[in-house]
Amino acid sequence: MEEYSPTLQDWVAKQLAQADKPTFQKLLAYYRTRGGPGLQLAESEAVRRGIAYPQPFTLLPDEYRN
Amino acid sequence: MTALNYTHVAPHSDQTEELVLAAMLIEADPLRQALGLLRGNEEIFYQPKHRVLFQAAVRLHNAGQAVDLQSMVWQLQKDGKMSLFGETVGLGAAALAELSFKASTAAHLATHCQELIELYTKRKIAELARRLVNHAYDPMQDPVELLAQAQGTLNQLTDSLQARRAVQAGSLVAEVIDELGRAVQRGNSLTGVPSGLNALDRVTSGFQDEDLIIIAARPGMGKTSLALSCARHAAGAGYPGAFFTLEMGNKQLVRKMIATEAKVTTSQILRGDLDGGLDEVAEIARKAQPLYTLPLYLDDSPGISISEMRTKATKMKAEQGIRFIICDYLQLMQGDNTGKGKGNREQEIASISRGLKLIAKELKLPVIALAQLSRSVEQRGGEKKPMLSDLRESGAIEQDADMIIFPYRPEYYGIKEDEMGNPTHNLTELIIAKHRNGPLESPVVKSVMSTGTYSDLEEGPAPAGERPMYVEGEKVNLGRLPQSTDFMPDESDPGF
Repeated sequence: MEEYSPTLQDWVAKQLAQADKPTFQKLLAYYRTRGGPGLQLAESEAVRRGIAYPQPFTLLPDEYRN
Repeated sequence: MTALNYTHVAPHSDQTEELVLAAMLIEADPLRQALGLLRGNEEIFYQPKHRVLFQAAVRLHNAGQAVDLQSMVWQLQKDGKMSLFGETVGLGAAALAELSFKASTAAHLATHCQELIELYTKRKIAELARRLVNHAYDPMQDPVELLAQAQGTLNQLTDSLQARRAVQAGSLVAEVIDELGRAVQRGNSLTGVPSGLNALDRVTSGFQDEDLIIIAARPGMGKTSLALSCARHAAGAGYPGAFFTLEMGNKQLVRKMIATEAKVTTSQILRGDLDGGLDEVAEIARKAQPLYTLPLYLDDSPGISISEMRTKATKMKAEQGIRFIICDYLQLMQGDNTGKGKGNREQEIASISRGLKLIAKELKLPVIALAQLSRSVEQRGGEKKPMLSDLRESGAIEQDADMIIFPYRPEYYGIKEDEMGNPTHNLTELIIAKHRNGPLESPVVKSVMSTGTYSDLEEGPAPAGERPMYVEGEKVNLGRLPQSTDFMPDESDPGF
């Protein structure tokens, strides 16, 4: 299981928060491929910035979706 | 022949280095795979920037942290290396991000890592060649020492290259089955080179790789015969070996081997003193047949030095795949003429024993060295059993050796019976006086010195009155049945 130390986690969160929009989108795309602890931080930052998370593809009818 | 050109750019591939680093950044599994394949060696990368990135990844990974774009920037900043990638952190991070987008998949990571290892090996070969040319023109350099160094480096490079080559599983099946066959034949769980003497192997589990084993005794005690017997058995069991014989010539040694094989004495062979005439010669030739293909390599270079032995053994390891080395005997070797080895005899012996231990470690095989004991054994009153202090110039030998065995034949000193009254005829006690990784025991084996044959004691019943007494938990002793019959079963007591 991959993880960041608390110091590194704070540092990455800060970098993501300070990144300009195009850089952040690149980082978000990167972490969505890479996964790991950076993805959680990037997703939280995306929510904070109001960037819609794309719905995963599913065959379930709408009423069964979260 | 083309002239040497030292201005060539060293073999490398920037693109492959970038692809490997990028693959390490886009997924977690490739990172672990690359770290394993490259064994954390940053020198495999040619570009200094790439080395720095690889070092940072290794550091993060070793600290249990996730290795990704941001954590790499953090680590580089911490190491003060970020400026290599851009004037500001932002620019540096952008450069790293560029790098990470160079690989969209890690599918060919193993191939790319292999390519980097091969390029690295070529660079190291070129570096070694340059160094050798320089040293070869230096009048102060010893050629044997130079060859030993070169061979050592080349071996390491060969190992690192071979270790990473993929092999087809099927190609190993025969080898594994072969090993299994040998293990079943041995019937026990030996982990080292077998001596052919079960009583000894039970204590040692075979001679272990990287160990220095000293077999020490007074002249005539049977050191060479014992070593030759072990070598013959090990080679016959599929363990190729090297026998450096400083005392006897190659032919003398082979004569001894044929004598053992055919159960005749060496003097009979030497003088042609055979009752059966040419028919017996034919019979001896038949019995010696297995020796023709025996993977045992003899070298009788007189006064061989540690460097020479190292060079020869390294070559034999690469070409013949030797699994053990025997040296007969240590005190006849020469220390290295340079450095700390030069000095009095004790220092020379110290450098030889240290050198033998280093050969064992470097070539990852057991080195069995025979050694002479001082006369103090004979000057001692009473029991003549050797002790560690009897080793000539003993300090260093005692310290470097992982195991010290003293073959002891009471018969040699005219002692016909031991303290229990057991006959000592044709018996040798192998006193294990030092055993770094095991117990100190003294197994007894049968030794027929006229033919140089060593074997385990028969397990069948001995003639009445000389029946072996096996006491659980104690060493095997040949003993007479005691006069007292107190412990004998009562004949009046009916059996079932």
